[in-house]
Amino acid sequence: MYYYIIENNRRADFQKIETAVSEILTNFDILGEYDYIDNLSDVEDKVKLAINKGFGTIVAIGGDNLAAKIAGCIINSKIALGILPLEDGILSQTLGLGKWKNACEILAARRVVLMDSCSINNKYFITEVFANQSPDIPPQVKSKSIFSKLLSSKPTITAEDKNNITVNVADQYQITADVSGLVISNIRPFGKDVESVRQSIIDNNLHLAFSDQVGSGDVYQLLNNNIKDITTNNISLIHAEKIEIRTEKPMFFWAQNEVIARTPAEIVVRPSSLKIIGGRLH
Amino acid sequence: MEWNDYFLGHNSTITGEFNINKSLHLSGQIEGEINCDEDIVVYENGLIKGTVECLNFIHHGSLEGSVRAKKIHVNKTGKIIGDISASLLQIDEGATFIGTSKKNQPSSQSKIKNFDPTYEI
Repeated sequence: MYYYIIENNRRADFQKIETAVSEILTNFDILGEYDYIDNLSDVEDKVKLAINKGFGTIVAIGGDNLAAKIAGCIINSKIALGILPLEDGILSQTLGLGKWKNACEILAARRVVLMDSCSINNKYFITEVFANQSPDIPPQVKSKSIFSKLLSSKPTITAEDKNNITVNVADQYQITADVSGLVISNIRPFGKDVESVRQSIIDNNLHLAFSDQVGSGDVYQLLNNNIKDITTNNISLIHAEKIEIRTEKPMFFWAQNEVIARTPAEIVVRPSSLKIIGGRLH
Repeated sequence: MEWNDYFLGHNSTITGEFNINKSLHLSGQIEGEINCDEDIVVYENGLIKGTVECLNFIHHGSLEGSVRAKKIHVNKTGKIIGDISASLLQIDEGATFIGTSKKNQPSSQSKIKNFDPTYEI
């Protein structure tokens, strides 16, 4: 049976389609229980409740942030994550869910993909984390869709914005650099090759990108633009299974608008650790 | 360039043993051993101190050490001090090369196979 979690701030969006969704889910015999949350910090309790009630599938109705938050609670468990998207998101597009009607059919088919996740200081994330020197102000990143342009925070970089980092990669080599922006991604939403992006959820790699010329939001934006932007904005891009980051000044890692870790940080790929319902991956 | 290639910007340094299975685009500095299954492009700011083995080596920067590849192309801004081993070698006018060069010998261990033993100097 399926347990559906919806953020209260998306209730109005959902109500527009609730009758139709419920009808489709009933026809597919997967209409379970709806539960509303006031904010993402309530997710953990709701997931525990669902597991205690015996639900085997938890569905995020909304966007990537809710799905990622639920995912963090069910990694390495028997519970599967489903997504009923109310907006375009990296996860929903990578999984080939399409709009909500198509997503309902995919939920019913319940084709479970074993997806990689990442952990940073033992906190899980499934999309990406953004580094920021502030623990109070999140990096301004607004994602409308997988290939859309993202808004970023700072147009100019000063010496104050830079931080000296040392990255140990898989105990083999060490990177030292001054950075103003840094992103660690599990899904590699770079470029326009959708199949390549989809393969990145099962590639056993995390993707570290940084620059000394732009902020974290811009690093992410530029990775989604023309590949030549990487070299023109002095972005470094490394793929690895495990990295350790140390910094001269503290650096904070943001996911879903909250700090989940700070330096020193160990980031590790957890292969095939999340059961997620998706379309067919080739 | 591909999205799963490796990029190292200038003002960034790698030290150690750098083993990768995709191409490398280097504007920074690497000190150590590089083993790359595909191509390495060293841009003008790029600097390598150590040994390199890759498929094709396209060089606009500086290298102190040795490089072994199927094809080595040293462009006019390129500078190599050390030993090079290639099946196909091209050194453009204006480039600097101080050291020794030799033709590759086939090796079962090497990434460099089925080479064309022709020099273009």
